[in-house]
Amino acid sequence: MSLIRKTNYRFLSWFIRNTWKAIGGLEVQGIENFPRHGPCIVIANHQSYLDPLLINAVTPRILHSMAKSTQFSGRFMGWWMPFIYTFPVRRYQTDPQAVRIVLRRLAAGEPVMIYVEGERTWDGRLQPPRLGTIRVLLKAGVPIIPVRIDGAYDVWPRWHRKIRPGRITIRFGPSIRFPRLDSRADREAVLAEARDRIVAALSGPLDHADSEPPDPIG
Amino acid sequence: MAIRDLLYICAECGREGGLKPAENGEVCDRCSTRYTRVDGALIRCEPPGKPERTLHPSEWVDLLARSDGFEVPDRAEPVILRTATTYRPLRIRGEYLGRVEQFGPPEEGTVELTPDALIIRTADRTDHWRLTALTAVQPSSTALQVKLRDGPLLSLKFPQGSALLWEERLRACLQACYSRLGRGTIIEFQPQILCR
Repeated sequence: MSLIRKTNYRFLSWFIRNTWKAIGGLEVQGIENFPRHGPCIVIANHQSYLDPLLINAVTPRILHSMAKSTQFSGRFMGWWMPFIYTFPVRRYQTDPQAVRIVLRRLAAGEPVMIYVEGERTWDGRLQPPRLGTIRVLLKAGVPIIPVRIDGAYDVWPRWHRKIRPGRITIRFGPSIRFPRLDSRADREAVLAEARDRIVAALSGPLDHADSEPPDPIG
Repeated sequence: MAIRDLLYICAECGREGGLKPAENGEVCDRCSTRYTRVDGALIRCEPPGKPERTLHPSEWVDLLARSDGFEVPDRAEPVILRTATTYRPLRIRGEYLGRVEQFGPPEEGTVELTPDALIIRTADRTDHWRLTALTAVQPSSTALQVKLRDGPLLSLKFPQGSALLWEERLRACLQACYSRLGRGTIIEFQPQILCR
C-alpha cells in the first residue's frame, strides 16, 4: 500500500510537471532551499487550483498537504485526497485534529504544506495570513520554507471557469526559522512579528505596487 | 464563477449585482457596459460610447473600493442552500485524520440580510438566524459558508449574484451588529469570529 501510494504520487508529479512544461511553461527557482531531510513546513501564496498540483509536482519530497475539509466530502475524494497525502482542516471552527496531524507528520520527519491565506486570492494579491496558521508555525518550531507562485492567477483566476495556459514560476525562498514556543503567551507575543516576516517572504510584485491607483471611470 | 463574482459593482454606473452573462463576457443590465476577460486575468470594460479600459483585477478592486460602503440589501437574493448536519470520520490506513461534513441535498430558496439577522427561506421552512448566533463566515470556492453556534454549517450559493459580495455584506453587518452590542472590533471571521 505504501509503495503504491508513493509510486502513484511520484508518477502524478512527473506527469503534472511535464504536462504543464509542455502546454504553458514552468520555471522553478531556489529548489536548493528545500531541505533534503527532516521536518519542515512549506508555506505558499494561493493563486489558483493549480498551486497544489504544481508545487507538489516540483517539490523533491512528498508533501503532506492541508486542504479544506469540504473537498473530502464526496466518496471518491474522501478516498483520493488522503491517498495523495492530503489531510482535512475544518476552516469554520478551531480544528485541533488538523494541528495534531501537522505535528505528527513533522515528528515523523515529513514536510507539511500549508496555504497561509486559507483560500485562493480574488484579485491576485497576497491576503493576510490566518493567525491560527501562524500559531501552528510557532508551535512547530521547524524550518519554514516560503514558496511564491506567480502566473497561476493569470492562468486560472478564482472568478473564472476557464484555464488559459501560461507560464508559471515557482520560487522556493530561504528558510525562515522561528523558535519553538510551547506556551500560548509566548506565541501571542511574537505573532505580529512572525506574520510580518511571512508576508515579506511571500509577497509578489502586486503586493509591492506603489503606483497611483487608476482614475475612476465616467 | 464569473467576472460578476469579483466585479459585483459596475464600474461605470455603480449598479450592484447588475452584471449578467452575455456573449463573450458579461453586460451590466443598467448601462450596457460590457466586461470581458482578455490577456491573462486582465478585465476589459467597454462602456457604450466611451473609451474602453483594461485593468488588472487588483486595480478594479481598488477602484470599486472607493465607492460607498456596503448597505443592507433591500431585497432577498435567490440562493441554493446546502446544510451539513452530520460528519463522517476520515481515515487512511487506520489513522484517524478528522471529520468531514456530509452535506444534504441542495434546496432552492432566498436569503435576506437585516441588521440583526440572516433569513433563509426555502419551499418548506423559514430559518431566522440572529447574527450573534453566527460563529464563522467563510468563502469556499463558489459558495459562502456560515457556521451557527450549536447548529449546522450552511453553504450558500448565489446563482445570480456574487459570493464575494455577500461575504462582504455579511461581514459588514456582523461588524455593525457587534459594535452596537459593545462587543468590539471583529479581527477574524474564521475559524471563528474573534473580537478585539
